[in-house]
Amino acid sequence: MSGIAGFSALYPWLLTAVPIGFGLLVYVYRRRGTGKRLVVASLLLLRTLERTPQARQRFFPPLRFFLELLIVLLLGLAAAQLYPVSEIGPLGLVIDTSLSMGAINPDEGSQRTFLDTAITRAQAAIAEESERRPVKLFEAGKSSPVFSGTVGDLGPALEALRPRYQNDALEAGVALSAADSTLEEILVISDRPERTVTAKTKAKIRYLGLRGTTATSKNMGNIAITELSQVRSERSATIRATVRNFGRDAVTVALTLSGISDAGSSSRIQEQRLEIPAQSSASPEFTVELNQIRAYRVSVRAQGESARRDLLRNDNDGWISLTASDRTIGVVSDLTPQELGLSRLPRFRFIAIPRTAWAEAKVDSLALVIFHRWAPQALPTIPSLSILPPPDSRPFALASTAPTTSPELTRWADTSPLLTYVNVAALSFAKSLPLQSQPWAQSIISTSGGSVMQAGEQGSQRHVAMGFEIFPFEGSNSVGLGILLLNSLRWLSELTFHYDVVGVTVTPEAVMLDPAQPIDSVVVSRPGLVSEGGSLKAVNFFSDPESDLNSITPFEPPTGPGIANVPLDVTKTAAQWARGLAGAVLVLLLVDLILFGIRRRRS
Amino acid sequence: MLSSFPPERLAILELLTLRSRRSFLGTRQGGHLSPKRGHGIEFSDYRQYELGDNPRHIDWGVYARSDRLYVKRFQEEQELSVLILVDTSSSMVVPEGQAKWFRARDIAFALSYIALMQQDRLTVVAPEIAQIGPVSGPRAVHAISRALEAPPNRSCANFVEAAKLAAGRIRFPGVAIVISDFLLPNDELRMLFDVLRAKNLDLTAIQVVGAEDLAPLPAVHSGLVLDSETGEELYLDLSPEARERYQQIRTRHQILLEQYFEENRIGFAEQTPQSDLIEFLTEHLALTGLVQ
Repeated sequence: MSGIAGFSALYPWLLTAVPIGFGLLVYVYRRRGTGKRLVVASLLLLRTLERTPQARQRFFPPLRFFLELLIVLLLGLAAAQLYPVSEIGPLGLVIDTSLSMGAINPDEGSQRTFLDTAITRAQAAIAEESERRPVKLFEAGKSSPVFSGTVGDLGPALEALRPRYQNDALEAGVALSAADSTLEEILVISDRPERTVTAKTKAKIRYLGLRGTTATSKNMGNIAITELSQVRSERSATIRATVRNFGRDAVTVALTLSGISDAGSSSRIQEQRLEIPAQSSASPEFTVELNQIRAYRVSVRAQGESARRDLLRNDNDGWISLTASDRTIGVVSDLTPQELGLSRLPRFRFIAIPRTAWAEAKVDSLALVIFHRWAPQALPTIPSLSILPPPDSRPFALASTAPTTSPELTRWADTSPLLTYVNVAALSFAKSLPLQSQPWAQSIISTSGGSVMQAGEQGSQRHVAMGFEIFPFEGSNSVGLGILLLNSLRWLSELTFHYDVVGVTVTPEAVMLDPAQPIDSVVVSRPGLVSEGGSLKAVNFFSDPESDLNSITPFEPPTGPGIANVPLDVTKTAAQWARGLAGAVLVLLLVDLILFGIRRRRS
Repeated sequence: MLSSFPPERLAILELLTLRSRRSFLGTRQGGHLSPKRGHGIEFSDYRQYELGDNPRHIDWGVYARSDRLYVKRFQEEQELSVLILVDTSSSMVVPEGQAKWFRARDIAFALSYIALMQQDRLTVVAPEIAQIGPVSGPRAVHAISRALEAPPNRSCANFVEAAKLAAGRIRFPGVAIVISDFLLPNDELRMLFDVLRAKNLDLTAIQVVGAEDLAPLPAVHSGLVLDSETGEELYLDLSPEARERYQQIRTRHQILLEQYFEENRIGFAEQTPQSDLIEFLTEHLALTGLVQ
């Protein structure tokens, strides 16, 4: 800060009062002496003294006029909160573009979102700055500035800001911008309230919270889809959508399931109406036939009066698609796939994963995983086949280590696709151990000692556990066991409903289908359907913290050397100047009173 | 009774008499010589006795000397018709502190009192305030006092028109007294007095002059001035030079006024609110012959 570069005003539009005041003053002076009419008995004799007022011929302002004009000027400057603009460095502008900024701002009284308000405030803030002042525009959550230039060129970049499908990362974003030592001042604009700061000194970071009276009243209603999952049966599939009402009032919503073709055209399949109590969730289900449609869109819309209780519309849609799994199967065993005889199955490709490497293994690309005589601590996020798990394992624990005999079919076994072409009675196990029953699983094959084979779904992923050895190297080399293994692998790797989350990478050739827009990056930045290499990929963004507009945490400005206590306080400086100008006005008024009041009394 | 007339002032007024410069016929007996011959104390002449004359009027001395019967004739004393016209136009009350109206009112009341005390037939016309008469006798004093007590409204009617209307109602000629500031255009003033003169009245004009009539708006150098009667607005220069010019104009106006009154045998007296009322009545008006 090397000096005063110029002057600016907090409320520059109030400077228009100066020309208005000037005009008014001229008018008053021209009318002076003509406004008050002096009544006389008769003009009979006075008529000859008539003359044209000098003020109407030409305006000759007296000294007092200029004194009063100066008073008007000083008052105008004080009202506009004049302050000196120092020669300061670049301005940093951090604008929160998290999803919640797309919510309608109830304090604006229109359909303007918080981001619209933020842009307006930012424009108002930079309007006070010199057009040549350098400025960097940051979006909270982005590591690099989205604009770097001068204040004069910032407008288009501000206008281009859109709410992003991302969680709030304001503190991190501000810290990132604060780390830029070239920035003299940082203005942060967000919908979050500011934590009350007791320090009287002005920090380098100036925070502008957008929440007004209405928006902070904790009655920011919103409806969102927070989860999509599938509940599979044999010949059909059920899509379950979790819809949450974050508001304090019950809402009536319509939930629509639309099918989306490969080309991206949408057709409505089903619709449900339901009422969701305040701050509650509902999980309606749609049962669909697995036919040509490979992707679905679930939309929730508030109905009637409830529509105004849904302030954020960007979280009202969810996409889900059927995906064909990869044929690569991971094998966690002390033996290699070749030793297990799996290499004889040509449809699949097996890769060995050491037990010790399981915890760090990247399993997303695998169709399923086979645990052989070992089990992880938790159910994997991909389908799994567990064979003879150890007794102390958690998800597939054995109920007993005592071998059992005489296997028999359970009730469901009649229709289980796992037992197609398998004669259970003809199966001969060298050893079978009963499994602990799991809440997600059903028994497929039971013996007198308990269930020795279980299958089920957990978190839309299928899992099979067997209490007997299935591989041909041990026990009888039964054909039935080979069929049972193939059935299991096919059942586990069947088509599943699947979606990715925003941020997933795609190939540069991928196309966004719904809404149909090109992808400008290999990272999908918003929910929708992506057509990639002939397959459809659903992308979602579910975030309770962003959707819950009532649950907002105050902004905590980062601290550190060079951030706080920067001696730049526009408000304070403007107030000081306003006080000074008002004092000058008072002095001038006294001079006016003394000089002209006394002169009038004498006359 | 008006507060400006305490008993001692009324006692002085009772000593005064209202006179006319000519004799007028009256309807009743009174204190003024009438052109009518008849009973009275003022001897007029003799005429020969005719049948039917009252033998009490025969001058027996003449009969003794001339052996002819003559009867004495006397000038009859009759009442006098008095018309008092008071200007109530806005110029009489503007500006308010000037008290022009109050002085005009006091003069009107004092003359009314004198007239009523000598049993004259009195008519008082103050447009939009009072229209009293003809009345006679001391009892009418109170009615006149009440009527003149309130100051006139600024928006009162045209004085000249009202005076012409009052002149139209006059049945018997007599004395007419016009009390005004005479801030009237010359033609209107002439019209007013011509109408009264046409009624064969003995006219007296009393001009009440306010301080602002002599030196208008003393603390003002220039400004927008409003005529209280016409509402006309003018931007006036009231510089010392202009004031000097005003005095010249006013003097000329006054000369013309007095010249007109003199030419038409109209008694004229000027009065300011600051001067003494009794002195005005006993000295100034006595000079005109109106009061004795």
